[in-house]
Amino acid sequence: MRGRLRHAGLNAILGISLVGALLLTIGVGLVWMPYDPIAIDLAHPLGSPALNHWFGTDEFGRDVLSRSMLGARISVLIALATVVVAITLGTTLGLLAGYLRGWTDRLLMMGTDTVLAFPGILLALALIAVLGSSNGSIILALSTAYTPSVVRVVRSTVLSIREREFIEASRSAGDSALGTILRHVLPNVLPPVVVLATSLFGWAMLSESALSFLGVGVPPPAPTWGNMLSASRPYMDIAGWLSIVPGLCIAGTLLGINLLGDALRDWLDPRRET
Amino acid sequence: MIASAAAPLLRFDGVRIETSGREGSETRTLLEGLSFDVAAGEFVAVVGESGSGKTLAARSILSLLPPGVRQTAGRIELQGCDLTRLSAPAMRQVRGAQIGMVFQEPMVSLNPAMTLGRQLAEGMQLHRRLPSNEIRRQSIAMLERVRITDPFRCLKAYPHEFSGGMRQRIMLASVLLLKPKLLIADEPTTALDTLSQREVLELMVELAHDNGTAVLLITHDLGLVARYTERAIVLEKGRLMESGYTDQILANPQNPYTQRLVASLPRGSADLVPPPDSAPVVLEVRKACIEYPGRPGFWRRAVPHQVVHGVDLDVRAGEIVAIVGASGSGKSTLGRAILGLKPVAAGTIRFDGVELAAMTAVQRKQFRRAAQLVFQDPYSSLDPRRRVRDIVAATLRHVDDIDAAERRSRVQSILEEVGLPSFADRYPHQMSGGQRQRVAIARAVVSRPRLVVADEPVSALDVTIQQQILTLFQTLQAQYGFACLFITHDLAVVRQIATRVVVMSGGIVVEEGPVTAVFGEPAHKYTRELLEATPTLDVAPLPR
Amino acid sequence: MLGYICKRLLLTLPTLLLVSVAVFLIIRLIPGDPALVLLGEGADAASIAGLRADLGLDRPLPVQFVSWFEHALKGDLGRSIVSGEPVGELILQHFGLTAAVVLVAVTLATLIAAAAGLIAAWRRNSVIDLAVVGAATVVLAVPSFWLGLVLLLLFGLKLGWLPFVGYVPFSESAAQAALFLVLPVVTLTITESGVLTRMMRASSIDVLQLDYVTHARAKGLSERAVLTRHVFPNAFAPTLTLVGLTLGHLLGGIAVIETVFTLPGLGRLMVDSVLARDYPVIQGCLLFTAVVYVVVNLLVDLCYPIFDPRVTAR
Repeated sequence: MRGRLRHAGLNAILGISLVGALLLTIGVGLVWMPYDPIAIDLAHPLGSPALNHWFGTDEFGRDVLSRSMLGARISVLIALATVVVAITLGTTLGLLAGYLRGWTDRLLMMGTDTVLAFPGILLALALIAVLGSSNGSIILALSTAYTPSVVRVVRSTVLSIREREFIEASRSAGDSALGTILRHVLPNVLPPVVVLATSLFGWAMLSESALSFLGVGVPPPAPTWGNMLSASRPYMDIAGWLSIVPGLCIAGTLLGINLLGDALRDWLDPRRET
Repeated sequence: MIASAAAPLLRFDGVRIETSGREGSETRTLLEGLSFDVAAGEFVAVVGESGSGKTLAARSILSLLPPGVRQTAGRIELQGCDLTRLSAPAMRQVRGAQIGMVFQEPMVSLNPAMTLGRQLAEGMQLHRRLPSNEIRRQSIAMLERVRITDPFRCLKAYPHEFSGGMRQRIMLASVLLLKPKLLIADEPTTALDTLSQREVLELMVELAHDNGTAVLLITHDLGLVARYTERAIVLEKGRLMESGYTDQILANPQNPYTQRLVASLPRGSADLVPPPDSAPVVLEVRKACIEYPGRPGFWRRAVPHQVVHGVDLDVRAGEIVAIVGASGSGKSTLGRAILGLKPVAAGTIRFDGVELAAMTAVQRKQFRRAAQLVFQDPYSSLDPRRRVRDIVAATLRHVDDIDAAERRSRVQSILEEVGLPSFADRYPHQMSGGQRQRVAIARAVVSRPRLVVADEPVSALDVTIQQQILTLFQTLQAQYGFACLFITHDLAVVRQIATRVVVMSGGIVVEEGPVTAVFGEPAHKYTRELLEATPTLDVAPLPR
Repeated sequence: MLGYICKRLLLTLPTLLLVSVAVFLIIRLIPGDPALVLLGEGADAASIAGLRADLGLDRPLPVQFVSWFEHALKGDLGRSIVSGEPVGELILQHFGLTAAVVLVAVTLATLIAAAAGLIAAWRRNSVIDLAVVGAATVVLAVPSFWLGLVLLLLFGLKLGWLPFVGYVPFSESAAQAALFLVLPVVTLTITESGVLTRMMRASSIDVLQLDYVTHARAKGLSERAVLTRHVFPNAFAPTLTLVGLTLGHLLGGIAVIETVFTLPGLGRLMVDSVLARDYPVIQGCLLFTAVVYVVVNLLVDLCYPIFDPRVTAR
């Protein structure tokens, strides 16, 4: 048992460090960046990492470090917005489906099954094709793709809580259905939802990078790690760092978020059950 | 390995079991210096409550301790051979062939993904190397012996197709096929109802006698110990408290813990007084029928499933009426319907003369305050995210004429009455099972109800805790005078606490009346079976 | 058992229907004349009028849906605006490549995950366990496209061991084709094995604590027999569900991997169509991938009873 908590602690420390580094970068980036991320400097294209350009420059001479910092902000904002929309919508629908059962449940399940039948990326692609390529449409597309998962998780948690006797006790004390949902079901649904939210944040960042990599995400010249990776491909043999740096940023951020999510799950779990 | 006629079959000598203390955390001793013997063919009980170390002692025999737990001292000898020193391959020879083990939860003790035939054959294939048709023949013979009606189908079936009692019998068959010298039975019937319990244990005794197998019965149920074993050892918190012949220990316990254990058994008392005839009828149930909606198939409508059928019931103010039956008899469903938590398909339920279905909103509110439920499972009846004071105050929240300050003082005073004065700020996970049930009782009683329905409130608790909770319940009932419907499967509890009893089976009432009359001279066959199947301390051990 | 199969089959029909409706509606969401949208800007008036009549655009929406659905069932999904080829043929051509990569990669990943997860759970908290969990966690964080790029950089460019750009169809040379597919398959295998390993490990840990495992040991079975006969079938069932979901989704498009390695697969087709606003193809891909997903999950459901016979009882 001790060992498990220690692992949780280790995960938490690593996770917090990585995510902290990310937040720090974004915070600093809000007020200061080494260079203007969009400013083109054709005199110094594809410069390798050096003291004046820590991460080198890309094919237009733009500073990779500054672009990474801005990219961090954009990716995080999009992911955050996606998570907020998906969690809010998904939790509400999941609560309704799980608690009310009957036709509400069946309809919602048919809806989520239908959406889940489409691979996330393809669904996002199709929606972007219809809506056009902008930050807003990316957020909308990703939220649509992820809400069904939230609904599913919340619904199954509600189903298992519903059977527990303290819900009956609340009804027999005189609580209305809404009162029971708000006072007893929701607080017990929150822990899995919080864990899901952290995973969702990671997936959203990954999906946004993938979409940008494919060329249908955030439109240039705004940098995101995904489209920086995409742009680096023609220059891979002469400017390898252009391919390494953005990927490292993505992987590092995702690792931090996953570790944090794991630590969160471990922390919430044993305390509740025993 | 020299076997001598004088050497016991199994000998524990100074066995100590500890947690293995990884990464610098201190080790905890779970079992300390345990020493006892089991002779060939003898039936010995290992008695204790939770935390006594009895299961660990059993598992250590076959080196099946859970990860994180180790045996650090002592010897365990099987006919003179020290099992703790055996190599892994040698131990595997002993497992199954010399010593067999039966577990508690029939739902998880058989592999759900493997046919029963294969599971029965596994042990035989490993230890006997018989041809497969001989194994099949012996399996079928053994299944017939444990009274499985269609042994051929059983071999091809999966565990989930059988009930708990049948699975335990199949488990016994599988283990005793190998004719081991010792059978370790770890709470084999705790998860079964009273009638199945009796079947399984009688079978176990018979089969053990057939082969001269010794039995080590791990249990907390003193009634079973009295009826089925010759000698017993009593454990508390990892220490041996007492050991000797069963009848002597139970009739004349020497150790204070054993004395407490024996005294904690629920027993009838002469001073239970039924209420006067003038007492008003608080609850009146007439021809109640309750159904479960049933699952709709793809092409047919849902067929409702009758759970309770035509039940009549009266409870007067101040009276405790017990409802007794096996699981599936409908007693819990009836209890919930009485509180309006499940709809009644036919018949009426009247509280204080007013029919539940016809209550106005105001009447309903009063009803909710006046009729309360105490649940069985202390682990799921309290919201894990709320503190004790919020949990207990829940019923008071809907009462209009009480303000917040008054609520708080009432909560505090009821907590003191249940013996938890300083627990108001705690969370459920910080409390033991007994403490949680006290909170559940406080929650039910705080609103001064007229009727309390208690659904198996002590079944999940240790014997000594059980008695504490029962006594608490009786004290509160005497003090506040509420009527009580006490649902249980334990006849001894009924004797202790109730003046009238209603016996249910298959959704109908088979018999009812004053406790002394019904238990003294049962009219119905089911009641008789139930009474015979319930082991008590006053029953003489079965003849050999 | 037969009842279980029939029930599962029947349950997929409503989903398939809903999926078709959804695909039909998505394209109708685009503002403007659907016929113009489907034929593209450069079409002449005659074809537009012809398509409009064909689609029955003046008839009510449900009728349009029915006629579209009928066409789809016959395999007629229209023609690509960009290339003019029938959409159905385009999809099938590209699907073959995607399917090859996905099937091989997922099979490998499942084998790795089943073994690693089981062993990690068996030797919990040991060095092996920590290594497996650590590797799985890192793998989960690495985006597949970046991994592909790095492997391509390393093995393709710097070391020159494997070809990396483009593709040679099987019909020309099987050996050559296989070489081109090594890097994509390896990338996908690594990426997918992370989540599958964690799932397998978690369910193995749960199963190892159950009584029937102790019972199996109490019979005297060797650890190997206990793990293979008793732990594995029960622990694998939830992982199998995940494999089905993964397979279903991946078959719909490993767009990023196909982009990195320039493979003409289904995902790439979809992306190119989106960039070119080639709506008939987009619609066809969506429908195809959703149907594949539903069918794959159905097959997985049918295999489930091998590992958990209890499902047939419900």
